[in-house]
Amino acid sequence: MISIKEKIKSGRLYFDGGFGTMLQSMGLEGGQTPESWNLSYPERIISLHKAYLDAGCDVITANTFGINSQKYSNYRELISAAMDCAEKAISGYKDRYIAFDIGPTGRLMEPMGDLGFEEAVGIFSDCVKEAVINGADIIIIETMNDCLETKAAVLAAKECSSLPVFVTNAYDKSGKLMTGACPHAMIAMLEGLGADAIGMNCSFGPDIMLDIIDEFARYSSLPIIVQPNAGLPEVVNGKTVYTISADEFSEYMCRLCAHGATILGGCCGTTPEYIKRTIEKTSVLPFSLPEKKHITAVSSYTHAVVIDNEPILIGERINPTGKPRLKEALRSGDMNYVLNEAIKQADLGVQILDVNVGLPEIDEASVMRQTVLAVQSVTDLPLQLDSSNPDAMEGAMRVYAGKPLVNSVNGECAGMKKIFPLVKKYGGAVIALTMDEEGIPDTAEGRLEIAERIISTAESYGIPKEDIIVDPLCLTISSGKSNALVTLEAVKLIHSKGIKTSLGVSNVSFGLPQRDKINSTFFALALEQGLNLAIMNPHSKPMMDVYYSFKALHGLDDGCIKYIEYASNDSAQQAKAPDAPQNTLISSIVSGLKDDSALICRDMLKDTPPLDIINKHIIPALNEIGIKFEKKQAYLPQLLMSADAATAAFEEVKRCIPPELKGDERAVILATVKGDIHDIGKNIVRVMLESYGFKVYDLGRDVPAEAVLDCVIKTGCRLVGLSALMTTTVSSMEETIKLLKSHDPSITTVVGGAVLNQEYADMIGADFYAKDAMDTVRYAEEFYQK
Amino acid sequence: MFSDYIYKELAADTLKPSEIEKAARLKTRAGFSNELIDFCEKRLINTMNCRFCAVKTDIVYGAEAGIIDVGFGEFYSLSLYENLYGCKKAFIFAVTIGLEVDRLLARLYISSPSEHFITDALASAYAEAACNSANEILAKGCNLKRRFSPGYGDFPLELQPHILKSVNAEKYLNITLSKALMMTPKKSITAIAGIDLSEGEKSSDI
Repeated sequence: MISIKEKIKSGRLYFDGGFGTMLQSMGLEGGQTPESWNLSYPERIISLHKAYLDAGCDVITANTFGINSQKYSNYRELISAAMDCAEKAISGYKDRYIAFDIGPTGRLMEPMGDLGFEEAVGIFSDCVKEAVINGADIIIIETMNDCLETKAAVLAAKECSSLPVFVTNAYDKSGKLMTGACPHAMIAMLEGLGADAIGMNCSFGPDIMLDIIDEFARYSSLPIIVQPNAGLPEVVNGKTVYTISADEFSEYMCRLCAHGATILGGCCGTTPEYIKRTIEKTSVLPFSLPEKKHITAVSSYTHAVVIDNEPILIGERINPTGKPRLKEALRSGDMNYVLNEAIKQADLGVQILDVNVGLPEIDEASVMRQTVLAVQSVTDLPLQLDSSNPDAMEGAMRVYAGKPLVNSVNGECAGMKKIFPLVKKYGGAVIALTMDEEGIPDTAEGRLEIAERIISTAESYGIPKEDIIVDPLCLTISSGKSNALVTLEAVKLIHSKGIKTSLGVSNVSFGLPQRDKINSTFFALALEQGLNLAIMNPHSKPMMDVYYSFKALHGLDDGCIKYIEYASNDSAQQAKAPDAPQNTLISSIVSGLKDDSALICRDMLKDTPPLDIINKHIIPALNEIGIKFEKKQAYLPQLLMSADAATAAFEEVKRCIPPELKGDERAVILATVKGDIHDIGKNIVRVMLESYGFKVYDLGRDVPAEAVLDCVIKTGCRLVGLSALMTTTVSSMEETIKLLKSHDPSITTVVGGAVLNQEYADMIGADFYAKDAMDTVRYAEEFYQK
Repeated sequence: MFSDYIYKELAADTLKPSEIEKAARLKTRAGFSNELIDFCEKRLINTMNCRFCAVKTDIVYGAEAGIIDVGFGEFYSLSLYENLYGCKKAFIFAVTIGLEVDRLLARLYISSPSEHFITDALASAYAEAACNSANEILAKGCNLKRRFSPGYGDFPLELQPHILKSVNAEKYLNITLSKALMMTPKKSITAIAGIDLSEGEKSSDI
């Protein structure tokens, strides 16, 4: 029998159709699962497979869609029974294949959900191992709604088998997965992961797929699978029916073939009749495989960024080199600071974010992995994973949702040996630095030669040329007058060979004053030579001016729309500046004007001591709004707006306080107690405390007593705030207080939350009951004044 | 026995949360707003992706009060039993305002606590409004009793997986459950609403 990988290259391949809906028509009742019939009614499963085989399909899908080790302790038995049914069904037919079916787990991946990446890989791996034992010919991963869960399933299939892997996702009417990914994002990731065929199934029907398939045809180099539903279920004359008939379905399938689909089948609501009609009508149509596309792209869990004519900006701010505040944040595990940097850069318009957490005193692999997950929870931009530590790189590539940009390899063989196997396994575009064991060549030609050597080595690993982006390196002009010129020439030369280029632009001015002046001019020159990617600081206005102006001048901005938008925002900012001083810092904070507060504070810092700003302006302003809140003259949203504004002002002040004046921090530990996941109240308290300048160790929600004590021991902080919303969790609060007091009776506890009152607080041994956030702030101030 | 599967998208800008609901969530007085609240509300409306799905189900009452079967096996819930009592059928339904709202809230949690609080409060109010809207659609042509969600009274949260499965919520609404049975997207609601036969069952025009 011809291998399936060969078969999909030589002609159309037909899968079977709906299974669960067919079993329902055969008597499966609500409360029964389709997979339970593998054991209870194997003859019905076999007869359904045979009906599809008689309809002419090449591949039957084993009834394993809903089986996994998380749902069933007897998953092995269920899988074995399902595969046995498929084997029995297929035994009388020639040249047919059995696909092992993997569906979603039903849980959402972290960080939005609670399914860890390795847990998901483990669940899918358990299934794949059984598929191999039971003789599957293909793994089909289908109806996946989420980019990262799809990745976990593909990795499991690849790590536990050598079977061909087909992947179909469920796109909805918007043309995206319900968790946000567009087809191009999925194509970029799945091609990188080494899937053999990709496409779409289920969702809303073949009519909707017709709106989506062109995106597959445009970007996919792999055979395209379509397995639609027979439309959506609807009620007609009191009966649930699918809206698209077998004839209509097969007509749609012909149109999908004309748009590039080569692997066909059906999903919910389709029957052997649908497949038979489809085969009759489409088997006579001309067949051609998608062309190889040679697109350089990276992706996130929502979209792909194509690296082509339009220059792309990579935000460089999440890199501790030369950034003491970020170093401190990484050392102390202050992920909020890192995430704020990510959000700010995304808001400023970069298309990719660099993530580098390399510090000698931290566990880089662990921090890198956590940072990638966290950054992807607050931004949908693709990431450039930036590390010289192969373990950190692999950990990050593994959990990254999408196809990353990998920074970097260079011409040294040892580095390529470590990184290219990772890129082959996980997918990615790679930054290739034009340096090797001999150093950095002085000439553009020398740098091109290294670039070509790296590309050739990558190809030997099966990594295509388009996934290598060359950084010809930029040395500072302060150490060599021709440095910039050589780099610019190298960009031009490499670009002329059809190779994409990248530069860390700001390196050119290292050691010089007012670096933005040099950087922005050099950036414009490099763009003119064909630079594709610039790693840069998007907070630099001169750099952003160059970027938007260049695109407008080069016809890369239709109607200059982006430029006009950028310039308008710029004008608005400039117009705002002179007005700001009309307000005082106090009135801005009281009114909750965040931007104005920061602006006025920055201005005041020119001639006012930082501590005076805190004591004579920020704190009085917070007290004013706090009193209004307590007198019910202001509402909670206004109180929080003022807290935001005060925090923005504090951030400005903090930059100007010399370390010797910072003194001991006033800190508070906050936690929502074990068993309780409601944290809005605790979060409000955190914000108010921070706006008053307290350091807050926020342990989150559902926090065990031991974790609170650990934090007390680790930080030395003696003031602990505990929150609970549910009556059932007050006992957890009591347990936490007991544990803290047994460790040290002087540890002070403040409790609050919807369920608490003074009586409860006294009963569980708390030192103070805070009725709201301001109450907590007042108590914390008293605590530190003692 | 499930029948009459219904799936509908709800235009976010047609949802009208009550001012009292919004004020209760925002902890303000009814009708209070300011520039930031208005801004957050507009952004939220642009972010929401509201949908619901429902099935009609037969209700079977056990011999003992509190024992009930709404299509996925018998369980005990006296409060649901009393709520549905007299109805032969009910709608099981699930409503969501979408995962993008969760993502927006995750971003705001980091970048702006005040916008996070305001948006979270408004999102809860809009989820209720979406649920009310679904309720109204289902009630066309029949009388529906007050909707009842897992977690109300003694209606066990443990039945959430069955409820979501019965309406195919994972597939059509992308609602998933955590190990602790919490739904994602977080602003999602499931409920059962009895079809009141006291005025005689009318045919649904859905």
